[in-house]
Amino acid sequence: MREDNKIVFTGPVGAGKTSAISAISDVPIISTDARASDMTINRKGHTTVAMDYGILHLGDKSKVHLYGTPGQERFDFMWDILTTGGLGLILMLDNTRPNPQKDMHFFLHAFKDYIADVPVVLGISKTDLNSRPDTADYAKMLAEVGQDLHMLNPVPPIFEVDGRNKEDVKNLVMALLFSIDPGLGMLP
Amino acid sequence: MTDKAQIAGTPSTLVRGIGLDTRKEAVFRMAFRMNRKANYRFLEADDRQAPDVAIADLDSPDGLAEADKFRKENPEIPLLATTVVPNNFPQFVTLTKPIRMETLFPALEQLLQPSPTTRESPVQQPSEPVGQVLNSAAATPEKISTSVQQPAPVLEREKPSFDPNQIDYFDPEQGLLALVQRAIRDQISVGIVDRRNGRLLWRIIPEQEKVDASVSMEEAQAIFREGEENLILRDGASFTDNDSVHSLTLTEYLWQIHAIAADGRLSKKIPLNRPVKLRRWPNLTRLYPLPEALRLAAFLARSPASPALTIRMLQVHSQALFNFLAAADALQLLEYSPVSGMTSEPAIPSSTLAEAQRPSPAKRGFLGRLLSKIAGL
Repeated sequence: MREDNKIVFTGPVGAGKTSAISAISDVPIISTDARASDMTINRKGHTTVAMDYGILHLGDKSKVHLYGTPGQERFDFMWDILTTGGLGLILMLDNTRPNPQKDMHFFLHAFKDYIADVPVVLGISKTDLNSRPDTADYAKMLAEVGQDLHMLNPVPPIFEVDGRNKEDVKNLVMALLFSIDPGLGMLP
Repeated sequence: MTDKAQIAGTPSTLVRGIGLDTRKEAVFRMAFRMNRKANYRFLEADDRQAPDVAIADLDSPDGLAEADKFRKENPEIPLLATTVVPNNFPQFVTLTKPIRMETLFPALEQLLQPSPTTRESPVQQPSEPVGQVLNSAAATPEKISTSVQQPAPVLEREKPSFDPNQIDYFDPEQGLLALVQRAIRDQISVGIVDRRNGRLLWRIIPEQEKVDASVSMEEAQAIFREGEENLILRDGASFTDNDSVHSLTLTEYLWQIHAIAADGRLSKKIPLNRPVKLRRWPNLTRLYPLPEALRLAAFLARSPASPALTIRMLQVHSQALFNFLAAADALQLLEYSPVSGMTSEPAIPSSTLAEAQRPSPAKRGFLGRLLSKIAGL
């Protein structure tokens, strides 16, 4: 496995990471969903207790691994395993949670070493249920939250998304790729 | 070409979409609108006119079956098939995704040239697909894979031509756009009416942060092209709610209306040769899709670059850039020194930095394949 061919999806419980990976994976995702307990029981009947794994085949034996982190904070020891190398981080935030800014702060700092080397893209889910904060508000939050971060892309894409919507997830990933190199697809 | 439909007196080339979802159709429509020279027109689903050419998405659930059916029923109409896996479809003339304007239009032009002999030739072997060429660091000439016996005709890649002396400008601070901005700023409800027939096109309701639209993006584009002077503002209170409208947020509306009004022209506010920076990304998943918007946003968020430099570095069509800049500027997402009062062009070292940060050729090849894959999902 080439470790740099990896995209990591992270975010709190119920933000849509598993759905997003399912939307674009070429294979049924290997998911370690289980009945939620303790801290997550009120938000979701099932949740990812270890990780999700999907694959994008590129047709020439190369592939991209899609990893979803567990949303529960107590599993953060696993994240280092996931973030060794990689193409980028997709942070999905649930707009119905009580304090999205706190979530943003937590996950960006949890991955602070990773996002110093690779770009991050923010996907805001459940905006149909709760329209505020909007993407402009998240950009302002990021200015505060990210003051002590050294992000590779300090002006990241921030999109409203529905993890079940393939077009939304495609846009997240394409924005990530163009953040690595806006010239992709051009003639040399 | 046909004379069945005309825009501004010039015969349109009618295009039928096959197996395209609404989002992809919208992107094609926008691309056709931007290419004034060719004057293509995308047929609505319920428009039964015979097309001059068809575009199919073979990767959609029913795309292949629908393309086969179309070709069987309309053997005389050329069909351009889009796919991420052109080698799987040697029976079609294919264009590899992601589709770009500079590959799409040469492909269509080539298809529309009368060459019945080659088109009816049996399949021998698939030609080199465009996508592989596009994504190969070594290859240069671009080909469309075709189902022809003779060697596939080579399409010279049309690099966007850009002449700074040929740029058209528009002024968003004059006319209808200025009035709309003022109404929104002052929280005044207004309706925009076509004075020729009294039809209400948009009802802007700032206090509810919404716009009720009675026209599609494509209709709006046509109306603007017929002359902005045909549009007048009326007091919004004189209109009643209408069920036959779709609602937009103010953000969505400003994005659309400025892209429409720009119509491939550069805003007079934005300097051609001075750095422009994107403060933050537009919420592109919820805004009307503009060609190259993801690429342009990534580039301009990464480092300031003048419009002239952006066109050269990204090889995008100036119309795509200018529409994006107009729409982004309407949402106050751009930072730049206004044209007035500026004298000379400063150095732009930041884009050189961006160039230096590019991945290695091998990694770019890999990322390009991944991009093609994602775009084609």
